[in-house]
Amino acid sequence: MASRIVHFGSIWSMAQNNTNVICFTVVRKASQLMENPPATPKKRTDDEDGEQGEGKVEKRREKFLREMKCQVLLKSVAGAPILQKKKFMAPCNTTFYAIINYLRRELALKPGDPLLVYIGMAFVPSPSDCIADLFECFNQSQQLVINYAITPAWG
Amino acid sequence: MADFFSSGGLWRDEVLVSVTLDPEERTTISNPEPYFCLVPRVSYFPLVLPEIERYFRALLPAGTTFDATKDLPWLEVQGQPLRWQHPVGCLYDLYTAGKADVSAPLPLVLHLRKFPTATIIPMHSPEAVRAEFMQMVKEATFLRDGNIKAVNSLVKEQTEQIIAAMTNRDYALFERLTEAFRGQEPLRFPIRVHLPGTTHVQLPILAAEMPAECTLGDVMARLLPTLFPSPAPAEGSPAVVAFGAALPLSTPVGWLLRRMAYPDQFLHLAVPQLPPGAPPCPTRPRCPPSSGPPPHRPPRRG
Repeated sequence: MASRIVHFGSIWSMAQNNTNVICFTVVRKASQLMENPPATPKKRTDDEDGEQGEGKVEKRREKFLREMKCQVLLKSVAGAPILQKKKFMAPCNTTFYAIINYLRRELALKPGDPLLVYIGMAFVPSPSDCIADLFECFNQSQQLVINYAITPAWG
Repeated sequence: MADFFSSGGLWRDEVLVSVTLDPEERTTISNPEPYFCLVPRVSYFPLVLPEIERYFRALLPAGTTFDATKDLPWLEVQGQPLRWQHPVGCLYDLYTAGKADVSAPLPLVLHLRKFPTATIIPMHSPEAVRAEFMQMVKEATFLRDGNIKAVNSLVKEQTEQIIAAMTNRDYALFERLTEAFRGQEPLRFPIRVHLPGTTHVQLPILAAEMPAECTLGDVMARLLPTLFPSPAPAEGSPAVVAFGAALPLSTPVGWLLRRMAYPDQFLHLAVPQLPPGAPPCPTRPRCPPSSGPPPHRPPRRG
């Protein structure tokens, strides 16, 4: 398994230079390699979005389990610039730190500039949180909503 | 026994840490003496870092210059950057378990240059860390209750008091202030399991889906099904450590959450030794300690 992960990393760097298609296949392979499928889908309790159809949510759930990617939506708050691409599928095997790095690069922030990233309009997760864990814990309609600001928005 | 826990006995516990300087920084003929200190289990490493840094910086020759943006101090443990955002106690349990001497110091290496930006975030000032501590409390509260009303209803003075109580390890005051947001029954259990060489595991465990007398074994079987195939203790199942003690799998989770949770309201458990042959990530293909690539290739800015 360890060698697989090393291999995984090298393909990732290749993928950076070529195309995202490679990333897709690699992640799919990783999910096939898994000996155990991830935990069964958790029963969602209340937050049914009126506008999001049940089928669409189910599709995202299936996609999450199949490809080990979760849908991330980046929402700007408190007047932060809106990103061109704010919705994407993030591979589950990254940490939240990758999202922070991505935002910093996209917003062209200097190392000292503040960037605040919230989940659930409530708290700042720790950067070593796994994206998949955050997704399973805090998704809204099978979508991880991340709010970002360059000035403090919530406590 | 009950007195020990309810009077904050665990909060008084301290662990021994030995810090050596990165050999590349060494300028003296002999190795500088390691810096030994006792750090409270419920504290965080950035809170003691200024003290450690002062000791080693005094040994550097005058005129040593550092680039303020790139050369940030960081700590290394067993060849990996230390993830300082977790409490000292659970890091100690994770990296010193299995040693013959239970009071062995946690060996750390202080680096002053080449900050591993891809893996960890810079250690902030003690003030910033205290603010981040409140964010951890919020995350745990959000996970447990599904909202953070309890934390948001605190006034600024109360928040400051809570942070001061954490820093000064005033258990009685901390309990009194945080009573409001620990009263109700949890919706989900705020539990984090730390494994060597990977990110921690934190999954939503709905309290309603678990048996009434939920034990640690039930939770571990849910979180790490490959390591704990059944809730009952089995031959060769790895030890689950919290506050230096290997916990029996029959321990009720309710009691653990009430008595052995860290001040950030999470129950941090460490599984320091995986059985030989276990996959590094028992739940799913997780990232290795380096956080890996960005989520996707960035689109061009228009």
